[in-house]
Amino acid sequence: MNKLLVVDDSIDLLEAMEIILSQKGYTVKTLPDCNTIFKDIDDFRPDLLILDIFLAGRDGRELCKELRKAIANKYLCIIIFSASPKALENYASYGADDFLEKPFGINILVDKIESVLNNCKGKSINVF
Amino acid sequence: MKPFKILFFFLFFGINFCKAQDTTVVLSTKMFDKTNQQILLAAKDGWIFKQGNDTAWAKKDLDISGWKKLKPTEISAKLADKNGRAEGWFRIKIKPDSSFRNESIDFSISSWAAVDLYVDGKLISSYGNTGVNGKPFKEHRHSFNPPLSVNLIPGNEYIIALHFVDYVAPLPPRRLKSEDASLQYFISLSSPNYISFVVNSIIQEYTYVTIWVAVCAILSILFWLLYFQNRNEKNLRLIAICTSCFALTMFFEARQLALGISYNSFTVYNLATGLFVEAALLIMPFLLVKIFKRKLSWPLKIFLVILLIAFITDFFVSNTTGNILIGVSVLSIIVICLYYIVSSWKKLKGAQWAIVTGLLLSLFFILLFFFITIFYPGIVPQYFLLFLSGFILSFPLSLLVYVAMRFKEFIKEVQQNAKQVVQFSEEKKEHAINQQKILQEEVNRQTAEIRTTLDNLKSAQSQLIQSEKMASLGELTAGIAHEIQNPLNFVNNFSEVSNELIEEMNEEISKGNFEEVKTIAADVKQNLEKINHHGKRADAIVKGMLQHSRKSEGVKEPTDINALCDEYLRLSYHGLRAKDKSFNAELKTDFDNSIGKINIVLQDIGRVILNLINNAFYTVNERQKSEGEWFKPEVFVQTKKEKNRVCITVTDNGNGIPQNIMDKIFQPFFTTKPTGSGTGLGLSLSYDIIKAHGGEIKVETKEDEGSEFMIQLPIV
Repeated sequence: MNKLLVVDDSIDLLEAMEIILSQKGYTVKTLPDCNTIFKDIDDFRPDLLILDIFLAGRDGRELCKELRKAIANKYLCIIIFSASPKALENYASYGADDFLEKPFGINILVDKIESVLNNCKGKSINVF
Repeated sequence: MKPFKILFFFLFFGINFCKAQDTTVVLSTKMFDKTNQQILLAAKDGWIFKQGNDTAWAKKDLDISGWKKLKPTEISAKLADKNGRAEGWFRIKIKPDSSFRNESIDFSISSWAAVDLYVDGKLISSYGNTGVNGKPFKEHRHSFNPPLSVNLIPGNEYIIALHFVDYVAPLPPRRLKSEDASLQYFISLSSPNYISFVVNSIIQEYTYVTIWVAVCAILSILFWLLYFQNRNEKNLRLIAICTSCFALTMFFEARQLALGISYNSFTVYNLATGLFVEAALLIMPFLLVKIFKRKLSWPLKIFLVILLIAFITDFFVSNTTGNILIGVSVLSIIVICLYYIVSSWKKLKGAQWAIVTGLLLSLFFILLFFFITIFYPGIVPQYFLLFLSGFILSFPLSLLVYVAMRFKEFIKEVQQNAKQVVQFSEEKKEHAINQQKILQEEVNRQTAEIRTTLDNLKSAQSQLIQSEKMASLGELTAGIAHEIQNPLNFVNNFSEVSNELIEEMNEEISKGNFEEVKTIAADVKQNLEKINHHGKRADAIVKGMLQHSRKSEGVKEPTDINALCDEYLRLSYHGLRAKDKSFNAELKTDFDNSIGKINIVLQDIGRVILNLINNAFYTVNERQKSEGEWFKPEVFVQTKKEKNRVCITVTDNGNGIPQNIMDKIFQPFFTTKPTGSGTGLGLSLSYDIIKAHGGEIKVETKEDEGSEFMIQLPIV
């Protein structure tokens, strides 16, 4: 059971993701903003982070870079998503593993999740 | 002194040709003058004279040494003493011949002097009072006394003696009063026909003079009346003055004819007659000049002044000198008048000819008068009076004709003018009507044009409003698309997942694992609920969009102002973000939940709010572009209930509004956006909408710090 953390400023989207991805068999936690994201990651210990780029008061790309630097104990898989395809360009330079353009079909998302999780397995660093 | 006397009366009674006689004057009935039926004894030779007084000097046999030859016609002021009194005696020896056998011998004394008549030393009669009988001196009022019949035997010789007392006239020149009457009538013998002749003459004279006075007076009254009715007619005044002078001349002339008139009255009337006739004569050249529309030349003016002086001088000089002066003056005036007539001859027209005719007739009559007087002295006196009438009345009557003709001409001119005026006014009227028609057509045309323009403007306005609406809508499109796409996506995803779940459920049913089936069914139900929720959401968005683009019906409905603000805030924000992905802004809201629903025209107020929010986003975006990443755009929407109104505030931290354009921002078509980006109608329409709601729209701004737009709406 992989754990997914979804960050987006749209409550509707978060709700839909929680319902659907749960039905797909994931353990899902959602965040409407990124104010407490570090603490949440520490508590929830997700396998994969699905991060929106345009967050209220914060740029997802910047956050992505920060996370990559800060979280050294475990490799966190990150998929960034946005309605703006332009913002998704050079996703790797922010430290993201994949990207997804909004709006998206749920199966495409699940495929991306599976593919990213598989690719990341080798990268995970287990300190403990 | 007396032009009339000189001109007419002197000639009236004829010129007498006296023949030299012996000391005894033989008188015969043949000597009676045919004209005046008299023998002018005073003019006969044979008179002797002695100054002083002695009744003895009347005696038949008298020593006449010391007496000198002097006729009564030759007396003068030289005889007067220092008191002006002249007294003396005349004697003459007469012998009526046999022709008087069957006739009485009648004496007439005609003089201002007081006279006593003696025949052969016997006092026959006194005329006036010489003072011999102790009574005071009394002048002889000589105008017609019946002749005195003296019983003389034809063939015998008689001594006629006259004692006279006279005084020097009070006015210059120095002369005896008697000299003012014709001295040749001092004493005369009258024929039996004399009385009837004199009565006849007097009647005729009175009749004619009355006619002259009446005609001239009526004419002058008429002219004065006409003048007073037409004050501008200066010629008419001159005519009236001239005619009045004629009338007064005639009047005073008539007064002189009165029986028993005193010397003083006679003098005054005579003076007045002279004055007025001279005035009339002097006015005539001026009148001609005026009527002929000529100018009085300087030499003539000077000459007329000389004539005036001559006329005045005439009053102070002796009869002979005066007569010469008057004669020359009158002739000069006739010459001047003739000069004007001749020099204007070719230019004369209409009424002017009346004057010419009058003057020429006057001249003709006077010439005729002189001619007949000189060459046919015996002719009957009524002809003289007729000619005199012609002379006197021709000119005043010609003035009447002139005035009448002028009036005719004037009326004709007036009629012509009136005709012209009528014609002109009709033309003008027609012209005015035409003008009016043209104007009306022009007005109609322009009205139609204006109406078309107005219609065009109206449609342009509604198009503009619509396009403004569409422009703000256009800004929303991306936001709306974003807003719709999301729920649609949810619907798709939920339905897809549900589809899979149903398949799974079928499998579980075939396995008979009903617990699992129930769980799946619960999931499917949840999904379906979500599908429904998002479907409705998309539906609401589309409806809202339609509502915005629809024309306002102007119907107020209870509206949740908070929801409206929230929706437009998000739509606007997402719209801007969809266009410019790099744009980001912090949205802050502070909605007062106690507001509830208020009555507003939803579309209209929605548009106002949207407009304000769009502007806010626009300005923060602009500022971010210019200032870069460090700038954090913020848009804050707040609603608040105050007593009986609702305040909606849209605050941004954009560039603010420069003070110099603050008063223009609510004007139509004013915009700071680049060409094509804004219609310039947003705030103008917003202002109108808020005013129509009885509300207010206020703005507070600070450059480089941001703006705050506040709408206040009354709660109805």
